[in-house]
Amino acid sequence: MSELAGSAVFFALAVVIIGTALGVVLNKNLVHSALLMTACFIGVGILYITLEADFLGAVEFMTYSGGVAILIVMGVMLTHRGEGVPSNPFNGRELFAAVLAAVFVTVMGLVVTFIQIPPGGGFVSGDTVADLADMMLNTYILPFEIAATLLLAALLGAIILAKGDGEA
Amino acid sequence: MHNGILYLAGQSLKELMLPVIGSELIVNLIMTLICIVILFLLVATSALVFTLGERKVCAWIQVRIGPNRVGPWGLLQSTADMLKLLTKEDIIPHGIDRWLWVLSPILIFIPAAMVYALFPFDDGVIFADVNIGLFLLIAISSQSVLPFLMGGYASNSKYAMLGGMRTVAQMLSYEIPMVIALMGIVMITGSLKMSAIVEAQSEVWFIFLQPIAFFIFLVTALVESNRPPFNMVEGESEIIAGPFTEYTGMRWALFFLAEFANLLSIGILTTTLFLGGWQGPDFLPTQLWFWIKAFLMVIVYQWIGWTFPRTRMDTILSFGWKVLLPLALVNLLLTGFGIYIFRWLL
Repeated sequence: MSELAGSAVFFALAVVIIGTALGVVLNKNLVHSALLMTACFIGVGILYITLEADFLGAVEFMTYSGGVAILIVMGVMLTHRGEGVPSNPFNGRELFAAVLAAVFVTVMGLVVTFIQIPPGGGFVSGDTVADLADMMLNTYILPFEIAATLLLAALLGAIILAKGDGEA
Repeated sequence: MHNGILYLAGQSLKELMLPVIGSELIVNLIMTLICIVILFLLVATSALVFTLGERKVCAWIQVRIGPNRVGPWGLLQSTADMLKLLTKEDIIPHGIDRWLWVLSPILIFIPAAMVYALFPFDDGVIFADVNIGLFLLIAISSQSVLPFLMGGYASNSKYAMLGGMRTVAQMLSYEIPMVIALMGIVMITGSLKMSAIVEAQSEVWFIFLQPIAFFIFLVTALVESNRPPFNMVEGESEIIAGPFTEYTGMRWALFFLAEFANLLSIGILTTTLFLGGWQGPDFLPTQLWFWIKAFLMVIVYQWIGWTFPRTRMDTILSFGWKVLLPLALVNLLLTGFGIYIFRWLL
């Protein structure tokens, strides 16, 4: 991709991601907020793909906008309180939020200013899938399996919580 | 390197354009645009063919005559249907969530059309032959769940909402056995690249190496694309038309455009993954083999759909989780053993 086209795509994506993220926070309808979050996830996924992290981008599509977002949207829709009521109420903590946002922006600004970025970007593997598979299933197999066990325990816990001790 | 008809046609078109236009970048851009237009035309044509084809096949299986009034053998029925849908009144119900309601049929069409970019139609003819091909394909097609739920919620109708909920339940639960079943193919090929998967089948088709995966894929593909006998999302005998209940005219037609695009894409996907893609004996061109296999698979899917009665929602879900998922895991294990035994024998 040429330099100009690359920046054009990046800025278009940045507008989409930040716009939808602002929409999530500022929208008065909770369902719309949740759906805008999905749009934000998809934007981030496409951003990963333009940065040549294609596997990460596809994972973002699959787990976040295909799985997590659907669960959130479904939860919101099932607990929706009906018409007329703003379902995404605002509270008076703007000052707190502003301070937090300011701290975040400062930290990110410092990171960008002081960290040395190698010219021409870092090393990007040509075959991300094979390298990731090698890393996860050879080098770091133990942490991978521990994470899997943790997830299984969480799954069983969720079933017991939902169905009750006796039934499950 | 590549010698399919489509590939050669594309190459010669490129060579014709290069001296006229000069810049290679612009030629590539034009070629990309042409490919996108062709893919969209393919999707649109599939809808045109299947509006008639579906009813003809259905009638043939159920020993009826089917549409035969408009044109010879009813061939112009699709045109008549399209005119009817275009001239229908666009009813916008009260109490809906306007934005989501309008967006839902449009958004449903996008993933259905986008997966066509990842299909290898012929030797060297694939719009995006990326390293993560198969995974990206599944990731994109998993995006079609949310628009259904959006439409169901936005319609502000109980039937639509129930349909939306059903979509999520069945599509999310059948994605898991599908992915695990397809892992067997990926293990044998050693790549997620779509072209590599087709190349790997030059000697033995994967339907013979992965019969269990083929069976699981057959079922899950029907569920994922809401085909009968698993079209619980519409389930017209129970919930009218599910998420499409409140839509009329062209908005309703958009849902069916996506549905027919999905029908063709599961036919193509089965061909690519299990039936050797565009490969076949030399007496016919590869391009012809591809479409013969894809349409045969489409007819198989329609045959299954019109033969079996619609299942129940709870039986679908328990079948998915309690039968297909363990079966897919066993298949994965057997494939692993099989690969090791094969290597040991060599």
